[in-house]
Amino acid sequence: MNEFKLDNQPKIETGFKVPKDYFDTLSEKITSKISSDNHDVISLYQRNKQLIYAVAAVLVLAINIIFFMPSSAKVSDIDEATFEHYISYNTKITPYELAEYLDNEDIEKLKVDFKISDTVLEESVLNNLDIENYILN
Amino acid sequence: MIEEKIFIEELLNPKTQNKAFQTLLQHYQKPLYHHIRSIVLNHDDADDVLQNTFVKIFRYLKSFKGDSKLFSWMYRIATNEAISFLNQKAKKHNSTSEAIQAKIIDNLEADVYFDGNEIQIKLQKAIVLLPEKQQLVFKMKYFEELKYEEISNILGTSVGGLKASYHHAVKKIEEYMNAN
Repeated sequence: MNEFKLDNQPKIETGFKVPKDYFDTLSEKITSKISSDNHDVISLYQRNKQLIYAVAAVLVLAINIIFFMPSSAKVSDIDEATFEHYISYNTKITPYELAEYLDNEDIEKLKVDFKISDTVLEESVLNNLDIENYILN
Repeated sequence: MIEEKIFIEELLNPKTQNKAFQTLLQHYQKPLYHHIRSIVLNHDDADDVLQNTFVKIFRYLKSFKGDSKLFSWMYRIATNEAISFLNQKAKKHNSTSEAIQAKIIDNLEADVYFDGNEIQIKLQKAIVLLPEKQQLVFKMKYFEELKYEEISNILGTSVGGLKASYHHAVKKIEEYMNAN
């Protein structure tokens, strides 16, 4: 019997077979696998995005509590001139809204003795045409 | 080389990507299938590994630097996927990848997707006894008829080293064929 030499032999094939039509449908299977893979990635990202938003919201809230709450609680730290300037020039606050923030004690403090002379008062009343309305109401 | 560069650009461009990827699939599905099948040996496993290989190729296209040829890069992914698959299968069966391959080869005649004759079965039995690297080199050179330079780019081994591996593999195979 002759000695087996690979180079002297006709090429020996693997003998592996492939199912009929396997390569005809393969690209379709791979394409759908890729698109479902991409879909999974997106849904995972969406889930993470919600988590990111939740964490961000908690962080913002925490920062607000830490930095803004103490400063808003210490109104007394703001000097009176700045406060008065803010109230005067902030047109969004009406006198009525401002009055809502005042209690009886504040109103007592606001009482000022103007020391108006009777003559001035009488003149003012006579010149004010709406005085009757105020008196009646 | 310029053509490959243009093709890679088409693969990366969302507008041309789908068409280019279909071309890539049509061109490489058969050679990559046979490469993977020669490692994992049965059709169903080869099918799984091939699909995963193309999914990975698609996913990692963005990170393909173009340092090597697209062909070598894809063969490298396919080789790694097939070897990882065998290792995982071995781990699952509390065995080794060599033992898993030997078991498949022993049952080759019962495989519906194998129609080899006596000498083909004998050759497969001889190959499975080789160390992993020699098996790979032999299959790529003998069955897939790849050039040493191509195998060198895929496996990252010098051409000289590959020639030595192939020479040893052929010698051991011939010894087995003569002895059995």
